[in-house]
Amino acid sequence: MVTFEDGTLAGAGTGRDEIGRVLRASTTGFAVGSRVQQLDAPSFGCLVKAQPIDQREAIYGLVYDMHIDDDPLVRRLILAENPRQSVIEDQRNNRLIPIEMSTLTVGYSVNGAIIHGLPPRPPLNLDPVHICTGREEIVAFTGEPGYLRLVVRAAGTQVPVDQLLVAHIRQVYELRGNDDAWALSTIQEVIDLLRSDYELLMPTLETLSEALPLLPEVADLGLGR
Amino acid sequence: MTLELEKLTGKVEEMAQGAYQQQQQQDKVLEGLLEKLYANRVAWDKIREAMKTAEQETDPKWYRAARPLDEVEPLDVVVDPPPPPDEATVIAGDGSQILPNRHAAYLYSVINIGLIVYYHGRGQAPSQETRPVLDYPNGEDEDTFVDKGAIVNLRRDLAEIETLVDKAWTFRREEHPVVALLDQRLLYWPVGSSGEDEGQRVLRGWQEAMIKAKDGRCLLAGYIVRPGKRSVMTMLQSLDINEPDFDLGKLEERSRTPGLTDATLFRRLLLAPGQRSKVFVDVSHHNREFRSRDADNEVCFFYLNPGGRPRKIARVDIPMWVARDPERVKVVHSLVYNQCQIMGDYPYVLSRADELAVVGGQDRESLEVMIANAMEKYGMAGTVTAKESGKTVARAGRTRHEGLRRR
Repeated sequence: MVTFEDGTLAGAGTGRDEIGRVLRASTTGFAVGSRVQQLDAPSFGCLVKAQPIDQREAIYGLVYDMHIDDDPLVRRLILAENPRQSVIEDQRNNRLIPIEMSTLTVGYSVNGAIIHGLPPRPPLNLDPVHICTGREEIVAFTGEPGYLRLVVRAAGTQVPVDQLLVAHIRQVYELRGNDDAWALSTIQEVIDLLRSDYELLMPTLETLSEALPLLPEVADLGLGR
Repeated sequence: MTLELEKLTGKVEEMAQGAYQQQQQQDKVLEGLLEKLYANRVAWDKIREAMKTAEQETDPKWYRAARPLDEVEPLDVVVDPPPPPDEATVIAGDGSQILPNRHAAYLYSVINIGLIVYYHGRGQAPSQETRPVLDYPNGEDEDTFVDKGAIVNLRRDLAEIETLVDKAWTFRREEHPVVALLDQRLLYWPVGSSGEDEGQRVLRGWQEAMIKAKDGRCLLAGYIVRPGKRSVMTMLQSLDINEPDFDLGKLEERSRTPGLTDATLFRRLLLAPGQRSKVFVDVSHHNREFRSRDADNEVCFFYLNPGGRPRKIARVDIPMWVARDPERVKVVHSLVYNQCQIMGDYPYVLSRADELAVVGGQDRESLEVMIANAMEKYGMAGTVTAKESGKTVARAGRTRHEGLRRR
């Protein structure tokens, strides 16, 4: 069980960091609907959690897609002259079109204990979703690399696994205070998991070495590089 | 079964041919009317005399024409859009309704009004709100409640203008102009009412709202897309009233030439986006009734080219107290066109008010679940009729089979 400094259990949300609510879900992932004003915080690859308001499990996921839909009114506005600021503000603040984020489930927590695996049940519609940026929670969730297995097994689906791994590792590296040891061991885990998938491993390592230039060892970890 | 389009091919061809022939005839009539318009552009005495005679010699119930508001702008004037004020408040309201359904689990009706306030010139997001009202047979006979469907429509119309004007009233102390825009004619006349009293009540309420708008210095306007009025044409035809063998019957609304409207005439005149026509006063027994209630309520109108292709013509209705002040007309003209420019050919605020007001299928389902939950709490379970449940099943996700497609 992980209890953070402020007394909250792993999986408990604070309300400050809410980025939207669950639109639909399955065991392997969930879609989050957000308002435009909530779009500042989340980014591709970030760790989020669907936090039920009752005693159900909190479900962790990585954001792998953000989707902004159109509608006939937006299409008309695009065709007309340059939209005015007030019209842009109206579209973004007043109209009820959510921004949709797709997440890949990578774990869950029960009574504060974090488990890297698929949850017994998905979150429900309208469960609030929070972004995980607190150092303690990030350290607790990413302490062991087991959740990366769930990312790698999504290869071949619509999840851009290589880009997702790179974005996630880069973000967590920074959130952990440029934790070199964590980055190197996590990349080693990625290599082990992708050893049989050379076509996915090589671009992932190349992008990682570009994304983490202060870690020259990344290139050396590559197969024969 | 779905619609078998191949069985309609011949009829569709016939329809297109008929439309073409009608167009040819209309063009001929239109040319004549345009010539009359140009020839009498400032013939104020002749127009006044002709209209006076026409009003005396025709059935007042069916004589619907237009009178020039002033004798300053010629009949064929084309006014370019003036620049809008630096700042203004443009408010729009629209309504929708759920009519009572005899086959549904519970009897109820809903009126929902959508309102949007657009802060012109301030670059900020508009504010918006909806005002839903639920009605149900509170001890009333169910058949009587179901029969009130037409009354729900009348009440929605009244709620639209009352809600709009109430909102505009809150801006009455603003320094800059306030325009309140309705998505329908201002010369409202209740139709389809099963109860005369209700129709009269709605009409009185409508006229009172117009007076309140004036008291609040709010420039009320009605915006009509594809207007069907032919009042200006009737005025032009009236100019021949002293000709021998003139057929008075053709001045009456019931014998109108199909397809020809004022809009077809002004489409030839208002060539550039934003241009407006002369301001006219509606001549009809309806407007006389409005004037008798309050002279400032008499409804006037001008035609507007709102932009977009192919060229369209809209009508903007304004009350007399707005129409007789050229500065107020200028504000309405400029701001309505300014709104049209946002989307190309229709006021943005009216689109948004409609979007806010409309009650979609999902909203309706959610409301019915809400009502069912509340009813069940008191052991009042309702059931839909077999007809309703059959329709629901048959319509759910019905699509035409289009063969197997590769995904």
